[in-house]
Amino acid sequence: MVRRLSVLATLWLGGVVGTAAAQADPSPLLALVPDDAVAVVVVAAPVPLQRALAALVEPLPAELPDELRAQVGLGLVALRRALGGPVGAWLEGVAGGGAVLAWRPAATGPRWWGALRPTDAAAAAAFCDARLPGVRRTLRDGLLVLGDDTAATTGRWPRTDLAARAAVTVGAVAAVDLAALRDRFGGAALARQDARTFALAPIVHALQHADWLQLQWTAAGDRTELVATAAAAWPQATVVPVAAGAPSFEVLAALQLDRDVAALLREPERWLDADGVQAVRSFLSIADGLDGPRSSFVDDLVAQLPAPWSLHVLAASPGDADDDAPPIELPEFVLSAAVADERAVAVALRAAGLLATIANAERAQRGQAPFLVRTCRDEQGHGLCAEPPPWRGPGAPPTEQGLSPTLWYGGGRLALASTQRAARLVCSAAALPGNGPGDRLVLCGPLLARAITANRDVLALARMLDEGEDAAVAQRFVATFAAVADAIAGVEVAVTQDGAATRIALTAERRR
Amino acid sequence: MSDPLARWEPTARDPFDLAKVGHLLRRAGHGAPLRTRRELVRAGLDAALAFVAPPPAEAAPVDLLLREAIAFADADRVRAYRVWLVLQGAHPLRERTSCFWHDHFATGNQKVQDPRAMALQLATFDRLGLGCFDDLLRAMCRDPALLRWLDNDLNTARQPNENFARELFELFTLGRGAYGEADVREAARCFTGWHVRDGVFHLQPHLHDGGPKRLFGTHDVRDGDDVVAAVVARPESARFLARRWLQWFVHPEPDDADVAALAAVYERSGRDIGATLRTLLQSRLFFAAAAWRAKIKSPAEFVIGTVRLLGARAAPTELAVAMASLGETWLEPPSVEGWHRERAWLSPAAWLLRSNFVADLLAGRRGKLRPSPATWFAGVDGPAQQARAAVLLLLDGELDRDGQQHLEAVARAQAGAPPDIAAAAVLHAATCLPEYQLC
Amino acid sequence: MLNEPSPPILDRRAFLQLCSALPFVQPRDLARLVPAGDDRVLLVLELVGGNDGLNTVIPVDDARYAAARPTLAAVRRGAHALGDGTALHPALGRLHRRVQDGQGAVLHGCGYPAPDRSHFRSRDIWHTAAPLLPRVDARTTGWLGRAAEQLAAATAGPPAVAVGGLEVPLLLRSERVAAPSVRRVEDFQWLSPATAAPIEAAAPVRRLVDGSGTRGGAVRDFVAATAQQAAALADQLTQALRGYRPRADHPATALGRDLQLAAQLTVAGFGTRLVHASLGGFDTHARQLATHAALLAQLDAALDAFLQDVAAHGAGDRLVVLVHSEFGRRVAENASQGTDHGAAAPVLVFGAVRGGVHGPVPDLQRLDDGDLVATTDFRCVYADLLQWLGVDAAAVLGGAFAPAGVAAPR
Repeated sequence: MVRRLSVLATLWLGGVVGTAAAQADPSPLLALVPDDAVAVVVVAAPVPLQRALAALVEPLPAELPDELRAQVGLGLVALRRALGGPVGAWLEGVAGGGAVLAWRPAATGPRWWGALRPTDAAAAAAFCDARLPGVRRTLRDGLLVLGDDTAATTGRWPRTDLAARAAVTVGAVAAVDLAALRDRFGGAALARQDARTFALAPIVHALQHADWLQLQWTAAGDRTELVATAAAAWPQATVVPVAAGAPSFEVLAALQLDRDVAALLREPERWLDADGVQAVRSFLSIADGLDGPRSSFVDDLVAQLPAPWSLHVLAASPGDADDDAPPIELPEFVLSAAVADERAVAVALRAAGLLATIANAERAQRGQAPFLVRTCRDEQGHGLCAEPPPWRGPGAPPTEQGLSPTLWYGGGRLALASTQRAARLVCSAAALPGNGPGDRLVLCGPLLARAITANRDVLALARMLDEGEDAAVAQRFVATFAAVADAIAGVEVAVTQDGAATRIALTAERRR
Repeated sequence: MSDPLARWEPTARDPFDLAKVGHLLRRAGHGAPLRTRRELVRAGLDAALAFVAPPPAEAAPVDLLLREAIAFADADRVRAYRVWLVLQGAHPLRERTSCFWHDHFATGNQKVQDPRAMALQLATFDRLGLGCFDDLLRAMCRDPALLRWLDNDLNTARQPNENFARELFELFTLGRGAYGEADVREAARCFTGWHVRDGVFHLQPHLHDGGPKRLFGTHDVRDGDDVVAAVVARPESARFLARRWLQWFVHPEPDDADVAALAAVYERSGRDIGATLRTLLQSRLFFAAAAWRAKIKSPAEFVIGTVRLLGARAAPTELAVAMASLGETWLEPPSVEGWHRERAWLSPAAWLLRSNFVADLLAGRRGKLRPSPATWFAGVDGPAQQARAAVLLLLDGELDRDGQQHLEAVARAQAGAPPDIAAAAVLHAATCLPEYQLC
Repeated sequence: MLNEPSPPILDRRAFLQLCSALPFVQPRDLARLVPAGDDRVLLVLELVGGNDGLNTVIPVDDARYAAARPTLAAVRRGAHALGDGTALHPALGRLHRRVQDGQGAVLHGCGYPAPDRSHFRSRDIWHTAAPLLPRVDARTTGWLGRAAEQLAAATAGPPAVAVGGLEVPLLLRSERVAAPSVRRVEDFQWLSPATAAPIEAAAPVRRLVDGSGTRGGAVRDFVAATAQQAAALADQLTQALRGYRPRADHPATALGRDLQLAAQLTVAGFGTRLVHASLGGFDTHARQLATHAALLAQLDAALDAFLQDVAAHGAGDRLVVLVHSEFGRRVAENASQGTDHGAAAPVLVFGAVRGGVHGPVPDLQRLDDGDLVATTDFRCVYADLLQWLGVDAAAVLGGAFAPAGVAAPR
C-alpha cells in the first residue's frame, strides 16, 4: 500500500543520521590535503557505503521493463569483470579504511588530488597502473597519495571537523571553501538578477555570503539523505513550523516558498531584470484596476497573505472512469497561503469575479459557452467557484472539463485551486505535507507513479511529439519512469535557516 | 498502346530501380529510408504499391491516439500529431492523400476556433480519403469545421448564405465555369439549416428551406445529399478532380488528354478514389520522364521527407514549427483555395530558410535528430564514396557528374574534420543541389 | 562617434557588377534581387494596450486637462514643450529633441469614426485599416501585408518582417506574401552546419550552388537560379552586417533588442521594407504615473538608439518610424489614479519627416461621451507613409485618403 506522505515526512524529521561503529579515523588522510584545495570529500568507510547504496538500488523494481533490467544486470557483470571481482572486495583492497578526494583549482583547469588507505597495496598499485596511468602516486605509511604529493600542507583541512563527522557517518562528508571559490572565480555569476534569483534567494544568498559549505551524505536502510549547510543567513520573515499530521487525502507533490511576494511586487527592481520589472508593473496596472480605488492589489491583498505560500498537487479525485471523462486525469493544483487580515478575502473574491467575467467574455469571442460562476459556502469556508458548462460534443471531453477553478477561504487560508474539491481539502486539512519552516519540495513516488500510469497514453504521446519516438519506445519510457517513481517512497528537499546558517537537506527513501 | 494509364512494365533498359522506387515514395508518400527503398527494388512494383497502400487490415488504426492528441484542444498539438503520423509512415498513401484533401477542402482554425473539430476533419480524410468520393463529400457537407469555416452556420431559409454552396462547386467539385449563379443560389437553399451545435453536425428543420429547387436546369433536389448526388455525377466533376490529382501526384501542368483518361478511370471505378490513384501510380504516365522531378517540394515534403530519407528520428513539434516558418502551417491554409504551391513555395529567402533548417537539423541544433549524421557514413571511406553515399541517401543515386564532383569537393574539404561534422557538411551540401528541392 | 566613416555597404551599382560576374544569374533576376532604386524602410512600432495619448502629448496650457486629471496631471512638471500649448511627457526627452531638430513629428488627434473600445477590435481596425470590416476571418489581410504584395516583386529578401514576437501580427497578413517573424538576423544568412556561421564565398558548397547551372528542365533551372540568388542575397547581408557595428547604445530591454535587429535589417538594405515591432503594457487602469513613465522611458531610450544607429550608418534619410496605439484613454482619470479605454490619440513619426507638430491641439471642450474626437483619420497617416514608400496607397487602403503630410516629400 501507498504510505501517506505525511507519515514519511515525520519519519524524516525524526530520523537521525545512522552511525557505524569502529570506523577508521580519516585524520591522517586529511593531514595530507594541500592547502590550496577548495573542496574536500571524505569517506571514512567506503565499503559499508557501497553496500548501503547497493541495498538502496537492488533489487531493481519488478515493474521495470525486462530489457532495462537486463541492461543493468549486464552492466553490473561487466563492472565486476573489469574490477576482477565483487565491487566491495575491490573497494576494500584499494581504499579500505577510508579515502579523501580534493579539488584544487589551477590556471590550467581543475586538478584532482586524492589520498587512500589501501588494505591491499598490490591491488591499489594494479588499479593505478591500469586505470590512472600518468597520475603520480606515492605510497607512504600505508597511505596512497594520488597526484602532487609535494603541495604545501599546513594542516588547514585537519582543523575542520570533517574527520570527526566522517568517522560517525556511513556515507560521505565534504566541505567547500566558498570564500576561496569566490576569490578565484568572482561572484559575478551569482550577482545576476532575474526571477530565478528570487525563487532561489536563500541559496543564492548563501553562495554569495557564506564562507563554508558543509555537505553530508548518508545512506542507511531504505533512506538516503544529503544535507548541505552554509554558514550564512538570509533576511526574511520568520515561519512557524506546522506539525505534520496525516491529511485525509493524497498529496502527490508539495512546494512551499518562504518568500515575501508583496516585497517582490513592491520593489521588483531589487529582484528582477529590466524586462521582469516592466512585466510586474504592467501586471499591476491592470490588477490594481480590477477592484477600482477601493483597494490596492499589493497592500490590501498580497501583503495580507504572508509567507510561506504553498502549492499542493493532489492526486486526481477517484471519479467514475467512464468514457465521458477527459482522457487526461489531471492532478489537482492548489496555491494557498494563510490570511493575515480577513479583509483581503473580499478583495480577492471581487478581483476573481471580475477575472472570471473577462475570461468568459474571451470564451464567448471564441464561440465557447461560459463557465458557470457562483459563490459557494459550507460550514468551513466560502469562495467563488467556476464550473465548466455541461459538455456536449464529439469524442471524449477536453481536459478543461475536469477543471472547476476556485478561490476559497477556509481555516484561515486563502486558496486558488484547479478544482473546488482540492481547494476545500487543503483549506480544511489540519496539517499538510510540505509544511514546516523554510522552502520545501516534497514528492511522493507511488502517487506520482499512479498519476503517470493513469495518463500513460497522453504522456507517451508527449514523448512521441516532443522527442520523435515511436509508440512502443514512448510507452516503454513512460513505464520506466513510473516504475522508478513507484520504487521511491518519497523525496524531500528542504531549505531552512538554522541560526546564521542555511541548511539544504535532500532526503529520499526507497520503497519495496 | 497509347493509353497513358496502362500499367508501366519494367524492361531490361528501363528497370524498376532505386530511382523508380524513390519517385513512387516521394509522390505517394514522404520518402522512406534507403534500406526500405532497396528492399522494394528487389521486391518489385507490386510490393512497392502494397507498401505505400497496405490493405486496410494491415494499417494501424489512424485514430489510435486521436483521443489523446485532442485532449488539450490545442492546434499546435494537433499539428505535431499529424506530423508524427506522416513521419511514422504506416500508410504512406493515406497520409499523402489526407494532405491532399486538407489542401482541397482547405479549412483554417483561425476562423473555426476549434482544434478538435480540425483534428476530426483530418481523421475523416484518413478514414474516407481513399474511398468513394460520394461518401467523402457527404461527410464534408456535415463536417463541423468546414460548415463553420464557410459560414453555413448562418445559412437559413430566411437569409441564405451562399458561401458554402459556391465553394462546393468552385473549389471542391466542378471548378469555375461549370455551374451558374442560379445553381449556387439553389444549392445554398438546399444547405439551409445544415448547422453545427455543440461541435457536431446538427440539422435544423425549421431553418431549412423546404421549397422546390432545381440544379443545372434538370435535377430536382431537396437537400444537401441531393446536391452531392447531382454534382458528383457531373462529368466536369470527374475532370476537375482528375486534374487536381494529376497536378498533385504527377505534373503541375497536366495534358487535357491525360485528364480525360484519368477522369474516365475514376468514373469507371464507381468514383473510387483509392482505385483511381492506384491505377495512376502504376501507370506509364506516372513513370514517364516528364513527371520526373517535375514538382517543387512543399515545406512538408522537404522537412518531413528529409528526416524520412535519412531513416532518422526527429521531434514533430519542432518540425511543425520549421514547416510553418517555410510557409506551410497545417490547420492554417492561407485561404479557402489552400496553399499556393510549386514555384510559390520557393523564393531566395525561403531557400535560405530551407537550407538553414537542414544545417541546424544535421548539426543537432534543432529537431532532436537521432542518430547523429556520422551513422549514415559508417564504413564509408574517402570523399568520392561519401559523396556517393549522400546521393544514394537523399537522391536515390541520381546525380550528374558535375554535381557529383562538386559534392566530392565538399567532402574533400572536410578531410580531418570530426565524423559528425564531415557527414553533416556533405549531407547538407547534397540538399543544396537543385534536384533536392524537386519532388 | 558620428564622424566615423560609413562601413562599406554594397551599393546597388557595385552589387549589380558583382552579380554580373555570376554566370547563371539572368539580368531579369538581378532586377528582382536589388530594389529598383528604392530601399525605403517603414518601421511600425505599436504600443499595445492603449497608450494614454493625453499624458504622452500633454495639453499643458489647458485648464480642463488639469481638472480632468487631478493626480495624473503631475506629469506637466518636467514635460518638454512643443510650442503649441502641448508638451511631451518628461520621460520622452530624447524623442523631444528629435522633434525640435526636425527629425520627429507629432500628429494630434488620430483615430477613426465610431471608435471601438475593445483592445482586440480596435487593434484589428488599425491593422486592417478597415473600420467597417464586420469580423476578422481567414481571408482578412493587413495593411502592411497588402503593401508587401506591391513591394514583393522588387526584392529578393522578405519585403515585410515582424521582429521580436513569435506570431505574425494581423497587419502583416497577406494571401500572397509570407511575412516571417524574425528573432535573429542569421535567419537570412546562409549558415554552415558545422559552425552556424555564414558560409564563405569560397566554400565548396558555394561553388556547388553556383555551378548547378541551367542544364535540366525548366523547374530545375528555376530552383538553381533561386538558390544562386539566395546565396548572393546571403552574401550581401553578411557583407553589410560585417560592416555593421552598433553605433548607438541599444538598451538591454526586449524593445532595445528588437529595434537593434530592426536596425540591422534596415542598414543591410537587402530588401526588407516593412518592419513591425511592439511594446506592451500600456493598459494602465490603475496607478498609472509610474508605470506609464517607465514604459515611455523605455520607448524613448530604445527608439532614440535605433534612430541614431540607422543614421550613423547613413540610412537615416530612407527610414520612417510610425509610433501608434490601438486607442487613447479617456480624458478623465478614474478613481484608481489610472485611465480607462478611450478613443483618439496622437501618433509620433520619426525619420524622414516634416518635423514639428501637425494637426489641431485636442479640444477638451468638445468631447464625445468623455472621449477626444479624432481630427485625422489614421488612414490618412497610412496613405502618407505608403506614398512615401512608393506604394499605391489607394490600392492598399481600398480608397483614396488625403495624405496627412507628415512624411518628407519624395
